[in-house]
Amino acid sequence: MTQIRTADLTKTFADAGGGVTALDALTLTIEDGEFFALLGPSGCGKTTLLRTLAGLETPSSGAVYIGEADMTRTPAGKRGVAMVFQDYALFPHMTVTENIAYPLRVRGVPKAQQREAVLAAAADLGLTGTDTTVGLLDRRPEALSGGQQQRVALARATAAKPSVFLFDEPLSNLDARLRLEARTFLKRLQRELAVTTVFVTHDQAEALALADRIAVMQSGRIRQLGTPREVYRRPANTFVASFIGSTPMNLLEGVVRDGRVLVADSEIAPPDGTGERLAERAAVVLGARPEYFRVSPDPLDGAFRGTVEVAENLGSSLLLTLDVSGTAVQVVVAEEDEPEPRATVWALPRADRTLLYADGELVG
Amino acid sequence: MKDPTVRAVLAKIGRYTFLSVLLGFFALPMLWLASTPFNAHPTLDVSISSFTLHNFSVLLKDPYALPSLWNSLLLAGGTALLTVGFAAAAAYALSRVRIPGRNGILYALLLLSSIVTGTAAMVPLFELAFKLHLIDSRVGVILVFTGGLLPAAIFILKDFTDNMPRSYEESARVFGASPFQIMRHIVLPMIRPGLATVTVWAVVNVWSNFLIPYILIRNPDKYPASVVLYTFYTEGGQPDLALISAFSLLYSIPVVLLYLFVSHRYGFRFHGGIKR
Amino acid sequence: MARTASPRGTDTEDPAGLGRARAAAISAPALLIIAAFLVFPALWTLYLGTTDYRLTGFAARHPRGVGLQNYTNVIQDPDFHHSLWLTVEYVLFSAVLGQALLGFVIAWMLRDTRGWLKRLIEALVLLAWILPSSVVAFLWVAMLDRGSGTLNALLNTPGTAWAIEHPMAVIVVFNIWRGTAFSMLLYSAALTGVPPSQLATARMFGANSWQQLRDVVFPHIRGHILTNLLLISLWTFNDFTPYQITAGGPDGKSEILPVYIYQTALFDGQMGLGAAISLLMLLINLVVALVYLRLLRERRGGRKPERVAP
Ligand SMILES: Nc1ncnc2c1ncn2[C@@H]1O[C@H](COP(=O)(O)OP(=O)(O)OP(=O)(O)O)[C@@H](O)[C@H]1O
Ligand SMILES: [Mg+2]
Repeated sequence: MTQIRTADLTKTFADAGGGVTALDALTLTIEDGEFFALLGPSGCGKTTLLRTLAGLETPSSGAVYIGEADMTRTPAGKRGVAMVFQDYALFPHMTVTENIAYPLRVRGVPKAQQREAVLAAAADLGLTGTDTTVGLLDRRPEALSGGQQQRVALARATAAKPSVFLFDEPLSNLDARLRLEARTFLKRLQRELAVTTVFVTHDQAEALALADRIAVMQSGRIRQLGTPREVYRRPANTFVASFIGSTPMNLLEGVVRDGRVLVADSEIAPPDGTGERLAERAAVVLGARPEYFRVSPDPLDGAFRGTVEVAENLGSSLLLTLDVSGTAVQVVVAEEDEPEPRATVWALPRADRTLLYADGELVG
Repeated sequence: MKDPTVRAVLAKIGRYTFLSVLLGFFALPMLWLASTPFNAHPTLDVSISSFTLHNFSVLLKDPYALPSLWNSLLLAGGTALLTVGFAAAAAYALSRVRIPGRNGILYALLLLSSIVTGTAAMVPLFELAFKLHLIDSRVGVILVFTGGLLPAAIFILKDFTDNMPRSYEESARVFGASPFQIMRHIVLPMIRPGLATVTVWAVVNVWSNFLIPYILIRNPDKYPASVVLYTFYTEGGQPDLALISAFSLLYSIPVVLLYLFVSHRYGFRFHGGIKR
Repeated sequence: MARTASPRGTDTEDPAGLGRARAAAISAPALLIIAAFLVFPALWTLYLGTTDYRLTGFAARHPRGVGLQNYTNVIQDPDFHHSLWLTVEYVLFSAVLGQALLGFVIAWMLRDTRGWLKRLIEALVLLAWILPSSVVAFLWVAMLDRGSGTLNALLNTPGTAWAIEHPMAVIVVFNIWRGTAFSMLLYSAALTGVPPSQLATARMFGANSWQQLRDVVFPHIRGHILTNLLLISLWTFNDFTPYQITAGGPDGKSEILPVYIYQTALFDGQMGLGAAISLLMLLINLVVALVYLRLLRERRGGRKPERVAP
């Protein structure tokens, strides 16, 4: 039973100009066996949180619980966690075998048992040779590709038999293709081992694909906590809305008039069930993902009318940037529906996917 | 404009001329060392008029010649061991734990070390060794050498530890390694090129130093080679070229071997060490 | 709950969890030896500099404090001025110009060479550096000998006593021969850090060798150059080996400061005076070091300002 809990966790780094608050009174519970992603822009405190969980940083205030125990003052190495660093930190003077065995060697496990554990972990991660591939166990890290290094780092972490995995952007050093493979692989590994996992990334797609739950962070605080579906469908604020999604969400400023939202000279229906709650003349932000538009060359009721400025090919679809009375609105259309350049089209946001923000927070 | 192939040829000729001159410049003084020890009638010129190994057999019978090489080895080995061991520990601590003004202190020590190796500090060094009953003791010589070499050794090794990424140690620490395990398993192996550099440097320094053993050691049985080299005189009070040259060769061989070993093992370069 | 702001980087500075106490413990042996066998004799030397201590005679047993007498004596001594000037020449020509330049040229010319020629040259240059200094001194005395030296045979200048006729030139050339290895090693390490893509880009735009050096190589290795100059200047400044070749002569024509101290302190037995000169040398070293460090800091400051801890 390894739940992770933080209570009012704060970490301040003293700096030339006062101090940097890397973690700001963070309270968070990560459930047993959960794959938990920490997502956020650079410098938001993800690594700091992870390092504080590992015991590499001492919090300025607040507490860390791993399992039942208060581990705030427990030294790193006595917390039963294994961490994979962004640069993997494979010891360059040791072979792959020695690297994987290192956690066991530190604990004084007998050599024979070490070897067994190494072979098991290496087999799990496809590091032992098969009929067609050569084994990597006797190589040194410098003779491995990025993907192989990443798997050795994972094997070393699993060999430690930890109750918690901490991953700091373990995929960011891989090229795009390898990254996809490693992603699937990582998810399967975590499912099999069922070890509580905290995964740091600044890539929202990675977080959505891997995590059971995601915490989106900004400036040392959690701006939203939820499943990938919740975070994607209903971002709690405009920060999360703009951060999540491979094509950024349209966030359009407007005002409420007669129960409808006036945006870029167009009258758009508010999200279902919010019409009567909206104060007249309130300033709001309408959020609509480019994927959730119906686009038509013919006039549609309650739609944006715009001219096609740019068309970007996304493969199976196209991202259009429309000029709607001077406001840019992005929509996605299927590849066979490509309009002529500068054509006039109507784009109707799906009412069940439209979001409304007031003062930056989700209101409907 | 000249024909490019002509220019390339000229550049090549210029290059090889320069390299040959360079080769000559560095080789020339060493010719004497290669020829004279084998000369039956040694002079200061470079020639082997009559080949002989007689000079070496005289040396073999000399009561101080061969033992002095052993003494040098003890002094150099002992100093290198102490210097590398203590400097590595101190460099690592200084590089990883914040101590106010640590760089200033290091620079100050580096400058002070130039005084102590100088002649003006001889009397204080002698008196200090005398008070500590370290006159005529190899330990005394080793300690004095170590004191003089440590600041620069710490300086060089700190450069290596400073440039070592922190994540290796952190990774080991998260796996439960104690600070001493981290030092043994991770830090020392990773700064091995630095340790090799400092070892060679310490050995070479001690090997050729004359002044310190000369003032601290009384008993000729304990003289290192650097001191013994100055004891070869003919009965007429002239330097005995036969013995000096032969002994110079013997005396040089260990450092040459050390060089060959290190260059074979590590390529004798600075591995990202001394930089900035 | 009290919030404690940890000083910037405390934790990342101590990645192994060493802690102050253990750090102090493992640096203690080095510091103790340095304190006992370096700092203590050095301070003692400085103290002697304020006395009339002599090697022999009455003042050997009962040295008297003479205050700054030794210093005023030294500073007014024309021999000291002469010696200081010779030292400056020696450092400038043999280290800054000679070793650094030759070391760089060798490193640059051999940078993409492989094979026996490179290995031979490097081996000889390094050998000159690591052979024991007494041996090396003998080698040079033999080579320069008036009667049968190799140099006279080679240049067909029989009877030329190089060490007497051109003592400064001899020790300058000697020191270049002796010490170039260090600069060569340092520069070849530095040159491997110059991105080949940048050199290729410069070549593509038609830059000649000199322009490549000026625009690509030097900006990259400026820090190495300064470190190199600092170290070889200090080493050369304190170098005593020339004594074994010219003995400072003739008539003090090659009496650089370390030799001057030796003559004063051991030959004339005026230890107090010698110690005073040592201190002056130390101060000069300090100034040299500070100038270089200053330049070094400017370089770093220019690129990325160092964040200052409060
Ligand atoms: N040792 C330190 N000293 C001072 N400030 C620090 C230190 N470590 C982190 N910070 C600051 O704390 C903040 C959070 O840093 P952190 O490394 O946790 O960000 P991150 O979310 O991991 O960013 P990235 O995605 O770039 O890795 C940043 O503003 C950073 O500058
Ligand atoms: Mg980070």
